[in-house]
Amino acid sequence: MPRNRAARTGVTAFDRRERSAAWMLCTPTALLMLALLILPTLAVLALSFTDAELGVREFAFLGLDAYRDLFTDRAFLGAFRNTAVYVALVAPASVILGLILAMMIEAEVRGRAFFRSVYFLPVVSLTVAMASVWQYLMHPSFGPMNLVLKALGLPSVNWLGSSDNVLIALALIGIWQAVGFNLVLFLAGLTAINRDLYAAAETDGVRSAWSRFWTVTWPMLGPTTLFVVTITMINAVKVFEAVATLTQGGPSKASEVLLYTIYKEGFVYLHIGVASAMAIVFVGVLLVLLLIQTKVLEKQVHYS
Amino acid sequence: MTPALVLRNLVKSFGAQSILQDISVEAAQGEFIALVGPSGCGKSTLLRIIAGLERADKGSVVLDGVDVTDLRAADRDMAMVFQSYALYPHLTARQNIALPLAMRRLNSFERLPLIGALTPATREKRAAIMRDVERTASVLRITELLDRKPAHMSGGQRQRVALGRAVVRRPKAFLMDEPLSNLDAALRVHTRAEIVSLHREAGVVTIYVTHDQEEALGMADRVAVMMGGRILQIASPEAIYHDPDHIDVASFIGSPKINLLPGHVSDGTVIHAGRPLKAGLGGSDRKVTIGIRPEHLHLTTDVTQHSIAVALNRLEFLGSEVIAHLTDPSNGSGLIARLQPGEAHIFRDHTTLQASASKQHVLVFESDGARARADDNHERGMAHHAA
Repeated sequence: MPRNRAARTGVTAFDRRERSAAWMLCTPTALLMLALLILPTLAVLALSFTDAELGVREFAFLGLDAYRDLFTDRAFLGAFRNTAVYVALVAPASVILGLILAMMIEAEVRGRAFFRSVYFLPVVSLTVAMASVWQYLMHPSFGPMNLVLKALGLPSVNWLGSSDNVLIALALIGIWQAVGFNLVLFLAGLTAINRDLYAAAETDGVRSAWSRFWTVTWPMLGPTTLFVVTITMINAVKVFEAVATLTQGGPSKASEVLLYTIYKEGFVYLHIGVASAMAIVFVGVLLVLLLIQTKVLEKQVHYS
Repeated sequence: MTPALVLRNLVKSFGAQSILQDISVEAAQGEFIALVGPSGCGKSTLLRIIAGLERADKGSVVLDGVDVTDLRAADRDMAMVFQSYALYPHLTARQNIALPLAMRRLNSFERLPLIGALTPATREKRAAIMRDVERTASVLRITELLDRKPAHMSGGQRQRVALGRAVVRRPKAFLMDEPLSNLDAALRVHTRAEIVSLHREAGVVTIYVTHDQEEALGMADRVAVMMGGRILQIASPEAIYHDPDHIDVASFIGSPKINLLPGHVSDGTVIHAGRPLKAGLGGSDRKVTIGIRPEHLHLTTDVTQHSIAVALNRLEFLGSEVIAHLTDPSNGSGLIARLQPGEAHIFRDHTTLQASASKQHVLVFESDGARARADDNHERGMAHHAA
């Protein structure tokens, strides 16, 4: 059937042009992705199965033993645990605080821009630069935080110098930094809520601010909250600067966190293999967090 | 009988901007009142003040003989339907409709998801709520939607659920804020009829805000035309249309718009372009505006005593009617006449026609917009007849 074939070749010619255009358009991005993201990740993955050290020519392939070693390494497990504690302290506190402050700012028209900027300042300030301020604030003898405690008749706290509460002190700094960001996100979420819903709730007999919150605000903030929780947890898992500048993982490894341990293994001890395995675990943790929160919770918070 | 709803001298302004200026309305039991006006006329604000969502600066709202001015919306026992439907998106239709009942019949402990269902008394209350929801749903024919969330419903279905949420608790008044504006045209006409029959069944006073004059005229017992924060006229749809009190009412209501011609009164007779159109107006000689509805503009090919010559620009065939676009040569302004399709073909080959109107259809407005009625009471009679 000549006619049919003609029609077919016509379509394929068009198809071929379309396809080559598509390839031309996405090749630059694909190449960059490959060179900057996929290949380095694969390299790290490959290195993670070895005992490679920077400057040492030969290395052995350990395979999964590398990971078995990692998960029996007390230092790494300690860092894992410390990071988990840090995230468990920072994420809920900064999300709840961000939400409360956002609702307070939203409720009052006056000074909204001012408070928004004030609370956002910690987000744009550099942790490394702020570290000295925190060191002063938390100084055991003349730091204002202890002076306040003393004025209230409470015992003073060795904030950064005691292994019992160094994580709490670091978490305070982390919360201080995360609240402003969460607040701005929640403010955006709050302003996006249809005012009619509040009016409908009021005429439906929703009287107290408490039930108004649970009937309208909280469910309507679902997508925002999901995003805020995810981003806060990921940021908290990535805690590094405060540890590197203020405690260096001490005292007695009480503030060793994942990223700081990776940094030390890789750049101080030059154990590239071990650091790579840790990095893979680290990325795995982040991916799991992302997956849980987007896939599992998505169904419950997105309405349309 | 006590009026169902009384609004007394309501005044509202936002900062320097005056929104409502001295609004007073009295609605009888079971009456359907439409508030119609252009956007920004204050009709939605007025509705929100009646609902208790907004506070008036002055004046009072009396519901069933009880002054509710100082009560918040939750305590007023009125139900509101919104243009945006305002359904709770995380709840199913069933939960949406049940919410106002749960809020009123259950205390905060009984409303808790699991604990609340423990005692037999609470279980019984919850079962009663669900029965009421089911009954309302069957009236609105949305039973099959009950377990869907709003995201999985069409606009019309959402609006029915929103109506269900309003009627389920048998409130003392229905307040509707442009409930049909987000629906497509065909659905709008259909839902209009449904709202009217729901209103009849419930027998509850209904205040219906709309910018659509057709809705207002077609649904309401009385129509209140609002402009610039005032009610210009509140009357039956027929009276609003045929016997407007104000030039703004006359030109807002009616489509195509009423024809407005310049004229003057001389010895009690209204004159346009040298032709007397109507006699019996009192007062001194002055300039006035003459209003004639398109269907009252009578076109002929022959010159008569009271007719004026007009130029025919175009005939617009619309099926059940034909719209004639004309020009009044005395001032160059456009006129519109509405014709029966049967008579239109007579004019097709003409460029100049004669236009006239019988005197009871000639509406005269003073320069401040107020209606000037003829002394002979004839017009009042006409309006009554129409109403």
